[in-house]
Amino acid sequence: MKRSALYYLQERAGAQFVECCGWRMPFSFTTPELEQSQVRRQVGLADLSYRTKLDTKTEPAPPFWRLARNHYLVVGEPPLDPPAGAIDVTSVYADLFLAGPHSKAVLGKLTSLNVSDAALPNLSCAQAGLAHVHSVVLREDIGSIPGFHLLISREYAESVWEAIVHAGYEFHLQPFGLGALGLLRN
Amino acid sequence: MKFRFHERVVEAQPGDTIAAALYRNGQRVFSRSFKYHRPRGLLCVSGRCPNCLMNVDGVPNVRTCMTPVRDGMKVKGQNAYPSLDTDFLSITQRFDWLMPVGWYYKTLTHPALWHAAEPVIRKVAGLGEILPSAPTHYEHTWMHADTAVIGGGWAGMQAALAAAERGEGVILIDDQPTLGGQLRYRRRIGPIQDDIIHRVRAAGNIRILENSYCFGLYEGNLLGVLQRDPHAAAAERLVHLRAGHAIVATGAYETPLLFPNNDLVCVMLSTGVLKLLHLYGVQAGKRAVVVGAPAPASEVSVELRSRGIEVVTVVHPDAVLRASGSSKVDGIQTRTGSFSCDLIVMCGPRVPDTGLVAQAGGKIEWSAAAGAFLPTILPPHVSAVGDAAGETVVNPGVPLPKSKRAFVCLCSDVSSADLCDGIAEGFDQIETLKRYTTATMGPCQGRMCQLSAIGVCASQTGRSIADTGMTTSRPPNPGVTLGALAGPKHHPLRRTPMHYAHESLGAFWMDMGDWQRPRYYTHHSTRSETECILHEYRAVREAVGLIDVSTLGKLDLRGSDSGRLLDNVYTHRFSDLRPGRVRYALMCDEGGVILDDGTISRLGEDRYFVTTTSGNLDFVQQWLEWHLTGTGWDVHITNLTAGYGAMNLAGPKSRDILRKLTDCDLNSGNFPYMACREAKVSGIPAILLRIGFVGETGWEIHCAADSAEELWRAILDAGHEFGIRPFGVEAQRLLRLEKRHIIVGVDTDALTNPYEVDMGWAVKLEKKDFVGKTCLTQAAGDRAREHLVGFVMQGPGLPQDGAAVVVDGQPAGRVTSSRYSPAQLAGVGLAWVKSSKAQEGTLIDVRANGELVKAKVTMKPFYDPEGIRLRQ
Repeated sequence: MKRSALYYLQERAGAQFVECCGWRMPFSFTTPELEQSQVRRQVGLADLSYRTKLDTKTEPAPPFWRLARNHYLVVGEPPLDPPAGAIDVTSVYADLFLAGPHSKAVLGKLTSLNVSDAALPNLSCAQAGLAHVHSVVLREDIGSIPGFHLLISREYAESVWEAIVHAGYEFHLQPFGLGALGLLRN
Repeated sequence: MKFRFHERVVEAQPGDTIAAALYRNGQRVFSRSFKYHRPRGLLCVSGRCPNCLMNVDGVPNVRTCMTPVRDGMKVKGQNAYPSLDTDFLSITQRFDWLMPVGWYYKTLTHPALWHAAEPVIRKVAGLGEILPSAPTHYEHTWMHADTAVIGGGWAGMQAALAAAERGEGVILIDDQPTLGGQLRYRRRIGPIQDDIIHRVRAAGNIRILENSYCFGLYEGNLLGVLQRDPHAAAAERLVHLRAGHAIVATGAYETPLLFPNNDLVCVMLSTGVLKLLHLYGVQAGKRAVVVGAPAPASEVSVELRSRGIEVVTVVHPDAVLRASGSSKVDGIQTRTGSFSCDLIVMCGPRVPDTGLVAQAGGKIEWSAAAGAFLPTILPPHVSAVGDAAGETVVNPGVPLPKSKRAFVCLCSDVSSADLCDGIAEGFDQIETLKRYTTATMGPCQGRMCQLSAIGVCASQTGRSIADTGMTTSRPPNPGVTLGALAGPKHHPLRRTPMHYAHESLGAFWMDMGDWQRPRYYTHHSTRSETECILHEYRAVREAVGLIDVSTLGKLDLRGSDSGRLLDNVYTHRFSDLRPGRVRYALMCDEGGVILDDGTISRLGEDRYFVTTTSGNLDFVQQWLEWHLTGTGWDVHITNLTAGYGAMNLAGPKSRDILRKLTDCDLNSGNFPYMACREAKVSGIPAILLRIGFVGETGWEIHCAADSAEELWRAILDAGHEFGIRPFGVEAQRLLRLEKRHIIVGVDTDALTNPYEVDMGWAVKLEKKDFVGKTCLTQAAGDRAREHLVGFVMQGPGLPQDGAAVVVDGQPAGRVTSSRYSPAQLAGVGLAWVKSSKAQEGTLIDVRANGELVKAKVTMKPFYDPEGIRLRQ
């Protein structure tokens, strides 16, 4: 079973794990209901590293994220059909998903990137230093709840997770699992 | 609310600052001056003078007139022995004639004298002391706005509302706890006040940062803002604010008048007196004398009288002879007579706060009409409004001192006499005078003293104020604590996928850049580091060992021109590498200097797998991209470093273990040394490279990082019966040294070319072109001046890395790596020596433990020189 870079950190945080697409991922830290209401009211952080990420230089069929001229990312729930010439970078990046009304305020403490609605609207992306680490920021709201996928090179994942939790302390940031994510998406 | 001031418990009312609560409770002396230890009391009550600096909860130099009381805080005075009220060091003012401006430049000219005097001066003079253990918490945050307004007074609020009405996102910065500026304490403006504050607060697109001051306006309208106590967890927060447009509405501040004893306790600025009165309900005194030009003085007198303070008389500044009193003011002598009083209120000239405009590149010039320096040319995207632009500032001529015994600079005790002395000694330009006397260079950053200093300089030199000019305004102004600039103590860490497996195996960690790697593993049967490393060494040489090499840089190159790019950038040839083979790769710059090394494997016709040293990955990737740019070649470079976990299984029994886990044919006939295969190991897809950094049969195994820990454990389990041991960086260093494998950056330096380290075989000069070809062609022909050789110690002792090599009593080189070699039963190492000594068997001297020890030069590996074990 595959493990994300945050497996042990989440185990220490009391995660109950579940199998997801061949990965052992946290289902919940408390209860999915509590966690989803936390995300709706304040802000929450989830590890979605199991999601497939494909890197390609030719424009793929949508949906895709355009990082630069001739540089695209396709990110989604596995299994994902790779476009021709794409390289699987799923293992390269941890996917930290920060969501909730206060998510922009938390990011404001970690990055100089302007994450306001005007500068980084839903379904747009950017690259920036985040807690001193290079990050690909994909904005993907859940309904009206602002959400940001932070793709971090795997070896830095624990360090960045801890920096986000620290910055989010004043906003009552809590981790959430796949259970709460399911409730939020419905 | 209660707090502790030295041994006293002081009661505070809601909304009190520390200074207001202390003043209400009878405290008058707030600090002792920098040089003479003169008692100083509240002056501006606006956070602009140095007089109220105290130590609060272990943090020095806190402006107590701006810091709200928190229950239970501990407040102490600074720079006073034994206490603020009785300071024995105030004796120094008796000797001020011994210490004219710049006295220590002139007196303490001999180094011995200075060394004797320095500790005393440091003890006697100065500001607060830093306690390293003080519990502080600093944060950084970034904000963005269309318009930033600095100053929450009338003009600032108007500007913010106007911008908000245009639909802009506005951030309004105010250094006070609540909006209003001078509306808060100058009552005559009255009723409009609440309305405008309410409108600003109600506007959806105005964000208000209270208790925050802007200390710098940098390039691209980046504002440095310090926000105090935004919530309980953070003491100070540094805001990096990027604004499309910056509006400076910092207002004007009042500065002291110059007369002898103008620094006595209870000689206050009218602003300070009015603030104490209206904001905190504190009467600064009972019997006041107001000094000032008629208009402002009468306005202040009316206010004071209406609140029950007796105004004894109103005096024009020109008529003041001196203030009198010892620990605090008790009277004033004027041309028209002497008056006794317990408070002197100064209505000093008002100075527009233009520092931010000047920092941003604006031009500030003297306006005779306003009696102030005003911004005349504004930088793009910066504007000034209100009193900062001089809108209501009218100073009736800058009053010049009638006496030379008036304090100009309160921060470092510079009197007008000191300034005159400085000018007499030739420092007659305002900038040199500032540097010589240190006036305007203290904690107030010239706010209290700049105008007076310019006035003194102008009158003394006979120049006009416009010609004298202003000193340069530089950020940070006001000052910022270094802790706030440094920010939170967060340093990113890099961990390999097997991190927690190492931890459970007892890893002793070492930092390599940001990476954490096991230096060695502690073992229940052994304790000492040397023993642990030796056990790990033995396991690799005699049985089998496993090391985590995930920190290696890993690049994936795809596309039909990949080989061409590698040929061009690396010294060896890779376009002719057969699929399934690995080649050592050396990268040089245009000067032929070694930049990096690694291996390149050809996994398919158009697919290469490149490894780099851990520290050079980013550089190598950029170097490849740079040389690819503009060629139009079909190459796709992807950094897969984090995506792959990597481990090196090495030792005579490594094949036995791997055979248990994979179907891949591992015999040397099918899978020889320097070959690569893709295969499943323990069911996990992996890339296997048969290479040998440590000099034994072995495989470097790369697999997806999410499964690397599983594979690591599977190999250790399978290897149990063969005596497998995990080994750390230290054992690997020893193993590679015995094979004379170099580490780029450790054994090589910024001048090393491949020929000097016997790696000419990795340079293919016959290639048409590649980076560094010209220089390397020349280097191949020349005889190198220096050479990296191996040496075997002929006596006891082991040189440290960097130790000197001595030949005929002359320094002749240096040691780069050395270890005790169990294979040679002697100390071995690598050293740079003159080429003449680079011959088998030459004897050199190496410095070890302070003595010269003989060592024999060898050009061959110390272990398995023929490389037979690697190929088995």
